[in-house]
Amino acid sequence: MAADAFYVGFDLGTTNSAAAVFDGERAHIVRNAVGSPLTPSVVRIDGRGRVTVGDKARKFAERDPENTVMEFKRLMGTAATYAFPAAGVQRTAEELATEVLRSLRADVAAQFGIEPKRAVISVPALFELAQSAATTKAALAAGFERVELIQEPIASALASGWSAEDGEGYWLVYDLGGGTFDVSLLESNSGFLRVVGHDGDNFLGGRDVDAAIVDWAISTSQDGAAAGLSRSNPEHTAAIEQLKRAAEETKIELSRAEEAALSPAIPLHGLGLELDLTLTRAELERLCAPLIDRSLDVCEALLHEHGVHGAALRKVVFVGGPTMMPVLRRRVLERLGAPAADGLDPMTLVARGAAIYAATSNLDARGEVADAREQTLWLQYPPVSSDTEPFVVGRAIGAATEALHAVTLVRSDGWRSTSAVLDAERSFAVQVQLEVGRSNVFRVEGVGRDSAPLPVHPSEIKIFQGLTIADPPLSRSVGVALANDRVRVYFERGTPLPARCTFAHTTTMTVAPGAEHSVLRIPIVQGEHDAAHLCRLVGTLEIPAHAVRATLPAGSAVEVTLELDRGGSLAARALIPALAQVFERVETLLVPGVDPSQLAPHFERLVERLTALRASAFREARRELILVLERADARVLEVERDLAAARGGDLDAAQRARRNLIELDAEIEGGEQARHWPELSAKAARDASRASAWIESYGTAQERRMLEEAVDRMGEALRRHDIRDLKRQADVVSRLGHAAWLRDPDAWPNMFEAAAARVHDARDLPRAQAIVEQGRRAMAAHDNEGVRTATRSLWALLPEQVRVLEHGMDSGVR
Amino acid sequence: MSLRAKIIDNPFYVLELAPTCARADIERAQQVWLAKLELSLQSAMSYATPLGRRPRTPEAVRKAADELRDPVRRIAHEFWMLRGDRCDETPSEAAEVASPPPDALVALGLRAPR
Amino acid sequence: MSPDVPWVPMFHLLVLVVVVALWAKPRDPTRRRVHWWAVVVMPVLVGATASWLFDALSGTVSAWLVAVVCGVLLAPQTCCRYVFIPCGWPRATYWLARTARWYWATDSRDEALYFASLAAVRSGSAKRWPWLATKVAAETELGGCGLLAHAIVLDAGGRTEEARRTCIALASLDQTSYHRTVRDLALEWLVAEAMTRGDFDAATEWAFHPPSARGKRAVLGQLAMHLTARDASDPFYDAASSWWTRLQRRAWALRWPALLPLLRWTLRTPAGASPTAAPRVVEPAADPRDRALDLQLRADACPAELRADGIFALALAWSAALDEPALSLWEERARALGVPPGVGERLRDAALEMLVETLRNATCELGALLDRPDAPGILHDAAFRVRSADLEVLEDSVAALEGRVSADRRLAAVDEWQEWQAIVRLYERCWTRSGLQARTTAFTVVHRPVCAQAVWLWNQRDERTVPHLMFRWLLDEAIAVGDAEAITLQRSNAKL
Repeated sequence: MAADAFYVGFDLGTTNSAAAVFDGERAHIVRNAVGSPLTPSVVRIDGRGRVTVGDKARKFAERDPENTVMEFKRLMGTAATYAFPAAGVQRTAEELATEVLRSLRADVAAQFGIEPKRAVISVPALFELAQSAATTKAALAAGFERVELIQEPIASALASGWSAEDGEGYWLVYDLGGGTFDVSLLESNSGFLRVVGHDGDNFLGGRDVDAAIVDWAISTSQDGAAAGLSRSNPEHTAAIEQLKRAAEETKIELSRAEEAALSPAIPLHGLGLELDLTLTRAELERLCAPLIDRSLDVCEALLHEHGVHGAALRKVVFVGGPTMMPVLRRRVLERLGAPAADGLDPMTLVARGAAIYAATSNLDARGEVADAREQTLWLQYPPVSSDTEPFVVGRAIGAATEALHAVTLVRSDGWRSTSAVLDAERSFAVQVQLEVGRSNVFRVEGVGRDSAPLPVHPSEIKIFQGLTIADPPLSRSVGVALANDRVRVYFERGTPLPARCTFAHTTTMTVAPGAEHSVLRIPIVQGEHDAAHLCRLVGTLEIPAHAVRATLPAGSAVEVTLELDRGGSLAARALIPALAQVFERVETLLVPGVDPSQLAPHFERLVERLTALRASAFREARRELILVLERADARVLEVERDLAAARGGDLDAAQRARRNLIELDAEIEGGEQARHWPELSAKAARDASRASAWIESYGTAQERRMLEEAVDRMGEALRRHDIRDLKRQADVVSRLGHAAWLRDPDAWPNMFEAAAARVHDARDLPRAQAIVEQGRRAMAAHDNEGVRTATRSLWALLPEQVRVLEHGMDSGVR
Repeated sequence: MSLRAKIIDNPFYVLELAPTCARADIERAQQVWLAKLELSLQSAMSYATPLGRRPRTPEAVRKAADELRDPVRRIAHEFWMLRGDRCDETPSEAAEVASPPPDALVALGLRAPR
Repeated sequence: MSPDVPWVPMFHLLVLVVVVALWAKPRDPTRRRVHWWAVVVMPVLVGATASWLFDALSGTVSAWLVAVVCGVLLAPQTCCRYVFIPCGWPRATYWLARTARWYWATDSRDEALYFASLAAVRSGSAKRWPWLATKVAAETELGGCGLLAHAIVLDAGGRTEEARRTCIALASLDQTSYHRTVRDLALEWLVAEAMTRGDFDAATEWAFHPPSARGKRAVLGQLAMHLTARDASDPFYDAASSWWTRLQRRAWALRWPALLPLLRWTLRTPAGASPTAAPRVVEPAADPRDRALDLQLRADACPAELRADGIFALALAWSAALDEPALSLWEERARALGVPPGVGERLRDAALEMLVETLRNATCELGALLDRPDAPGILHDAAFRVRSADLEVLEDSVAALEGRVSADRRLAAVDEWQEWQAIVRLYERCWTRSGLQARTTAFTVVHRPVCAQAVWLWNQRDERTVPHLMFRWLLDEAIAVGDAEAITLQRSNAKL
């Protein structure tokens, strides 16, 4: 770090954004043109195409809501667009984020005189890859050359711990923003911060509190017209938005007062309707309770997962505007049993932490700084170090240092390091001592072989001793979906970024050059579910038939490499050794758009399954199933609410509904499997018993032995609770029993009668009837062979169902 | 992951740390090795394992440090460390063998000479 | 030749008799038939050729040219065998061999492919193979010769294992339905390949596989028997194979000079010698953990040398390294680091993963290992996982096959063959790793889908040889697992 260090961090929030600059000792918040540390994440485009960002744009939110957009962060990475009818343009969330970042960048330049080229931007911990990648793209479009991302809770923890005196132990960062909730568990040890785990909810935030207040206002209002207001009615959108803004202001006021008025003028059907309500803090607490409890469930699950109980949790760091609500703070601290970290502004903590992180990553906002003086030493050292005795590693470069023999570092207070002699590669490593909690400036001294001093450049470095953090971890596991609907995990959740991984797979289908519509797909998914169809698809690597040089038979080897950087960008590559070809085309890294009309049928099917499952659970008195069903029922109510809002044009609610439907599917699937297990085991036992009887009467010695082995395997499958293997062994047992049964003299006549009973389903009825006659004649003559022939002929004419398995995501590899 | 991979990628070897190292040693080692790799120092480009030398990359250093920070994963890596050079992985020495036979497929005109 | 003897008319009569006899043979799609017009045209052409030949012998030079052209048209395959193939002209060979269809009613494309592959081998040029591979891939139906050509193409591309499997399948062609030529050629390839690989036991078995050995296969069989040092008690040892018979067969080698180097090498090499090295025995470590790590590393480094007893020793070593007394030190260390209890289980899971990988890479049969009373639990767990994974992979593959067949998505004939071979490989992997019970289970999985595919190829695609081979395979497997119903069904299918 040079003496004039300059590191920039941005918090791109759902409701408000902020910027901070770290100068090597402190993080300073950047103030915008109106002098505020917060810039609303609002963009307006007027009829002349002029873009306005921040407070100015927010003022138009009531006057000109059609051309003013806010809270677009949750739709980053989707293809959803916002219309600006006055200008006749459409913009994606990514493009709107570019405008906000451009505005913040200009604020930094205005205040510090330097237009940053590199920066760190915060993202929610559970942002998906597509959303993170969209954030990076937005920043590059705003004029940055290089951007790194950091999760918001980590940034908050860094900023929080920076000023803390005693930080050892576990911290919980509770980050409730306008639209997202993140919770992270961190461990501070010897000045080093490590992320132990994190979780969150991408669809829980202050907005949901506002929505709860709106619902309350609608249901409480005595005004007939207002009581008819509905979030699912597109005609009421403007009214609902107005009510939401009023609700937000009331909510903020309740942080200071015990009650507040909620009396907006709502435009509805060309009329202005007055609402006059009073909301008390107690009422707000009642409205928020389910949301707060939902967030606390996530927190407790995280703590439990990592074995942190009771007093092991040292403190809770609150981040985000909604955490200023006293009711929330009280409830959270009571339930978690830990004190809050004091003296921190939750609105700007993330931006400060992002700027500090930029320093620990040595991401100087000015980029490559040209220096007229010739550099003679190439130095590597941490600009921020939690270690009090870090190393400064260097290498002599340039002709001017040929005579350089050794290097010493001298601290500003006179402390001297040992002299490090240059080795054969002209490199050296000097261990320095840092004064705790402050900036340490070192003078770099070079000496020649004759011990004469030699000038070197840089001649001075600065290292700040403070909290540092490990590489940002991946928020959700990433892997490849296989043909059997499983996931091969490439990067586990928590893997430090950047990361790269390669695995070998084999293809399950043949791809022949020129075969129309033949594509080998390698889906890349993100999520923690074992089943691929329950994870989120982030991209598909495609190997089309027209691109292969020769036929790629099923069973061919494919080596897939995935690479993730800190900007959330995913690169994928497939190498096919047999063809010596590499494929790198990844289809669409976008969060899929959601059509509410497609979600509804899926929801109805799930509800049917749930109803059937509930009936069985009660009938069979399965307690554990009933508990699963209670959770599912709660989720059903949420989905119903979100679907209603989605029909009213709420894109956010549509995404949330989709996410919830996936979770609901997983819960119902788990319940069905748990329910089927006893049925399967009972059926397997019956099959084994029946087969045993037939084999006893008509089986060969080999069949008896094989039945014995199959029954042993069934026992093993039961013990291991392996459904698939149980089904397999049940198939073997059935076949063995069936083979023996066919030797029963009455077997074929019975089967013939069964087939004859279905003769009316035959494709060729006259022919089938003739065969039936033929069969009856054979039966009368006790001609078993004739009966068998007739039965087989009859079967050929009857309809048959072919079993087709559907694979998750149409994956072509295993 | 094969045992060979566990050994050659063992974070203790990557960072050249003893199994009894302290937490601060891990951070320091990461910092030093990343610095040396950034300076393209040949001495940092590879590390020794009981199964031969391996290239050291910045990703490997970061991953190694992350592995050792978590005590659960750290103890597993301690378990997979080999003591000394006890293991000899060289392929079996060829016993007294006959020379390979001439290619009968080539002789019969069913395969082109390789 | 006496001018008084009516040679030309006699030629005509002779050829007419032969052609009519061939044409009159019972209809059989796999046997050669002659087109009806060849009955008329061929004798005329033979007579004319004979006339021109006599003229040429009398000194008319132009008659030579005509006689040669007619001769080539009359016997294109002979010309291919003795002229075009030795010259290494695969394209010319292919097109000339195709002309044989003007008088043979069977499709000559298969044979043309086979001849072209031999010519490509002779040419020694790598550029010929892509053209030939394209020709094979373009075929909508592959017969025995076509599959042989495919095997030679595979071998030329370094995929010898797949070529071997194709020839093994061809060696099972039904003896009553298919002419022995294809089987002979396939067996010849198998014997030669086994000899090259140094597997003389396999070479002996292929050499004496029915139908009876003759020609080059017999010669190679004798050489292989010598190298395996089989004696009179061996079933392959023909009691009548006295020194006289052996001398005769070795003398046959002189008929094919190319085999002389192999004969010389055989006579030089002592019986029972093997070109592969024996594994080295190393003293195991004393500490259980060190011993387990050493054995595991050795198993990973040399999977080809791994035998069943080696795997068993490895499993025992892990069991000893991870039992409670051995792990107590590690549990203590874990407590010192603040790790929650359960480190033993995590280490065991990791060791189990490695053992599973070892079993996956092993080529020896493992079924008998699990029946040993002292088999450790970790071995059972690993074998169970391997078996489950193998069966799942097999199930997924046949499910993909079923889906394709039901949707009537067609592939080229050679690709259908390759896909089926891939399933056979997976099937064999299942049971060679896990024993007969897994074979029974695997057969239950594959029987219906593979049978449905064969029926589809027969009915919808008019293929004959490939479905026949599939039915044969199903029959062999049904017999191996004792599935009576399947045996009955496949017996009737294979006779089609």
